[in-house]
Amino acid sequence: MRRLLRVLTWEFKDRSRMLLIVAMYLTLLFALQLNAWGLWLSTTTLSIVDDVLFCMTRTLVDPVVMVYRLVSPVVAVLTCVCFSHEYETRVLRSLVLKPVEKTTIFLAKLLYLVLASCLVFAAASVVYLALMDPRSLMSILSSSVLPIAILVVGAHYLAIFLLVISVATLFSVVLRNTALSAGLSLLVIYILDYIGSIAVSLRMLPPWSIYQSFYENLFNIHILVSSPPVVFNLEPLKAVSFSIMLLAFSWIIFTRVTEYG
Amino acid sequence: MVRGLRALSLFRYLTLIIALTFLMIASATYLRNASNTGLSEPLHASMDPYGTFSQVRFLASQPYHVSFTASDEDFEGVLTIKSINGDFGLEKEFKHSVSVDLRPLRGFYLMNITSLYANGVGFVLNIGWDGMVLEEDVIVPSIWVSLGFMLAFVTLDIVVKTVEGTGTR
Repeated sequence: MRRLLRVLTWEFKDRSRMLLIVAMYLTLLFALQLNAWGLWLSTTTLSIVDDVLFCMTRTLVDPVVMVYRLVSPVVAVLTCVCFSHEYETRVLRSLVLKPVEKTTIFLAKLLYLVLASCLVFAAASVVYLALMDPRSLMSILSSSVLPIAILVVGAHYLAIFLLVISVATLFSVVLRNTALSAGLSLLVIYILDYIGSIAVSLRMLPPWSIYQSFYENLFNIHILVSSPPVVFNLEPLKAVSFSIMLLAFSWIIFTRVTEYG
Repeated sequence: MVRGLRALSLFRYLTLIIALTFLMIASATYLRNASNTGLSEPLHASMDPYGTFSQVRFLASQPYHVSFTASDEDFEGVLTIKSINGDFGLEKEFKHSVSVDLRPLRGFYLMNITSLYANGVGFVLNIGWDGMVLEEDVIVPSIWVSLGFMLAFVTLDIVVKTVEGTGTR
């Protein structure tokens, strides 16, 4: 555990990736702001502050397609830089020579990517929401349903980022070439989106399954706020399972490889 | 001295990130305004006798046109639009239909239609806005804030590089 934290700290200290993280933050903010339409939500028996909160939450749900299309390339490139680039620059080789297990290195890199994505999403969404209506922000922050809303929105965005990270990780550990793995990951990411956008019958595939469940769950929570929230439907759970499967496969390849640059 | 320089160097990047944040907000708002026609689907619903229909809406600082038409000619009701923080309020009593033009400040609003009619009634609520009108209250301050922080970044960059240069000489 201590070694994992040490490698994770080392990953965060790598300044060369900072530029990509800033790019991810700016692209995410741009995608959110580009979609701030005149949104509405019919009120229920909730208090007005809670209704406003759900209206705000909806402004994070509507741009989800745009976020996937604009932010995925940056997440994929960051993942490829994290894995492939370190094969190419032989940084991985020097890491493996230290008394750290390959699994620890893999987990630390994965944790770094997930944490970086979550932190960037939190920062961009807070800036975006704070600028929507700064005058009523403080009262909205006191809403009792804020944790549920954060849980649902965060879980769905995490599922999307995890999908991109898993695809890019697999290509990175197999190809060990930053440009090639980033290019192929982007191809797969966009093909998945394109399939869902042209064929309604294939929307059980990610990322469309995640988009659809996102809308449904937001309204479920709005109506059934007193009952336990359904964070995911079955479809996005399949997408998350698919991502975990890809990551497990990548881990097997990563730990079995003996040649590190 | 070294610690102070490192803090100044970090602060320099922070100012750049803030400058770019506001630049992104200005450019995305401009692009949205340039492409948004402001068309919204009319809402068809029904209301109970003496019932109330409420909606929470996010309104940008653009001209809005709100219209409500009941299916019954004798319908009487009250349309109320008020901002969540209480700095805007509008109340209008009407018979059968009502339409209102407004240019609100950016923020969340509560729209209420209260029936004063003894029967249940169907209605159509339409909220349209001129999406092509630029949200100047967002774009202009964002550009100024961005320019301010960009200037701060350039100044800090010169200071850091000068101090670094003095240190290595």
